[in-house]
Amino acid sequence: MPLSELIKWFEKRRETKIITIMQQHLATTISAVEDLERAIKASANNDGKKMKESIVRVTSAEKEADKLRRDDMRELARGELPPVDREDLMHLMKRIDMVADWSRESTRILGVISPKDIPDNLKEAMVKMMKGTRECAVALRRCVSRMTEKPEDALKAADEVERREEEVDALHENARKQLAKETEMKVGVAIMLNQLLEAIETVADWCENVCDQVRVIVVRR
Amino acid sequence: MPEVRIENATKKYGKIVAVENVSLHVHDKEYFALIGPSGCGKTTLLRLIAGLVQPDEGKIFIENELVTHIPPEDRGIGFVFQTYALFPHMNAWDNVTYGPRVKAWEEDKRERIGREMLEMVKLYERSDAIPKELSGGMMQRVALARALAAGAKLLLLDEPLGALDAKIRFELRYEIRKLVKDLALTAIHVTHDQGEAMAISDRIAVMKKGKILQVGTPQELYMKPKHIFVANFIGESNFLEGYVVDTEDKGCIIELRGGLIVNAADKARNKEERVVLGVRPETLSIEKGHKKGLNCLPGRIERFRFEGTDVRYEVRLKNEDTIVIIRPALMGEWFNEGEKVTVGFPQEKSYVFTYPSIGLRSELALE
Repeated sequence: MPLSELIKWFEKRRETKIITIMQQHLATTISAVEDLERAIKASANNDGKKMKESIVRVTSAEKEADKLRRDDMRELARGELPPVDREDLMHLMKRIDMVADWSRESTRILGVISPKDIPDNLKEAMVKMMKGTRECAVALRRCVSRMTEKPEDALKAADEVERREEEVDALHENARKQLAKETEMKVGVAIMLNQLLEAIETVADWCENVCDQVRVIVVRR
Repeated sequence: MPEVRIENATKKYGKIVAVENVSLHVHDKEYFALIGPSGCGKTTLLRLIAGLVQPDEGKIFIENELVTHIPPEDRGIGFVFQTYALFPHMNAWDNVTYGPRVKAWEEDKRERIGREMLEMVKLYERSDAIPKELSGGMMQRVALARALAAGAKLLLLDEPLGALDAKIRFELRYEIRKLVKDLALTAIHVTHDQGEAMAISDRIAVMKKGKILQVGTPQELYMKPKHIFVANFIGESNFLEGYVVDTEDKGCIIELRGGLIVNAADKARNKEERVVLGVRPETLSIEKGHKKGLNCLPGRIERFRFEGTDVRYEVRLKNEDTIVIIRPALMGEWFNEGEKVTVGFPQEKSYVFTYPSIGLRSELALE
């Protein structure tokens, strides 16, 4: 497969600051998603304390991800790369950041729902969705890591992310159906829960969006 | 005796705080190093002790005497600069005997001291040479002899080996230490080279952004770093992020990114705390294949480098984090790139830090 100029640049400069910061940015984003899953599980187990502690960690990881994105943008702006490639990387970083942002947003919604108000079947649906989303994020990390080293493997990992995102879509649809059937739930809780499910799916959506950008970078000639 | 005590010293240059509320006690006859990255305030602290700059706040004591407002020439110190600062028009003899001459010592005494000092640095035969006829190492020896000739018991060295090439630097650092110990002096040595500080110092203070982060023997700083920056600055460390799942009598259980579980010997952690686990590359073991057990982390060799006495592996762990392992080149088998391996470490050889509030990258940054 012919490689883009940007990939050739990566091959030459695997140790550069930009790549290092981007890897740290992604790793921190994955931490945010993993802690979001812990928060969701804690909520499902009615463990409000553990849920709050996990939310604190998501907040801290998201803040750090923001800072790393800004640092990386600054490094990119120093202008070693042609503008098109620079723009590609900036889009990539912004999309990675959206994964962390939506993880944080999910915890904001989760934090206002009392675990006791969520019916068990919806808790289960929520936990399943979140597991799929976390797996999606882990595959994403593999995809971005390989982009700089083995672009062919990155494309395979991108396919995996897409597949997992589709699974999350299906789980979301199922959870919505269950939510629609609920008759005992408080209206406020139902609205917030719907928003939470949407937010979790958006995390997975952004993982897929990142992979789309990886594909652009890998195949651009 | 020349012990040095600094109490709450602060020095600002405009808005820049070069030294912030630093307290330090350097013992008599101690070889003490101040280390840290460029701009951390180590030279400013040395210049405060020398009296070359005045603190905005705080007190400085030498031999239990308050010297904060005493001029440098009356503090009984010898100062050695990175750039030697020899008088270029004077030969080695005149440079060394300059201090005794200024102090109007008797000629006999001047002659004796000059000869002793130049013999001590093995340059008596080159007494007539002017600085430009000497090598870098020789010039620094003359500078050292000059600093001591005026009878200083406290020697302040500001990157004294910084301008020398590696081989000379390596030799001269031991010579300086031997000299300091033979003459029962107290020395404060500023350097940014942690290897140099570790090799010659009795104790070291690690500085960052105008503050002292930790003071200890080289072994303490290496084996028991109290600050994550120290763990990174002294030697090399792998840092793995996670959170404390549980605490127990022997330490704590940490879940790393990707769900990897490890045990660490730190008893002071709180459950659910976001932490960074530090492990030295030299303390990690490596085995072929994926094994199960306490602190066994599966991975794959990503890079292998032969570095002479050591081999260096970069292993991509199952959770996509990368970890560096250093093994003696002549011991054990070597592994190939792409090979599946298990990385392990004894729990007492790891250290745990609270996740830095400013972020891990910012906390470890050298600038």
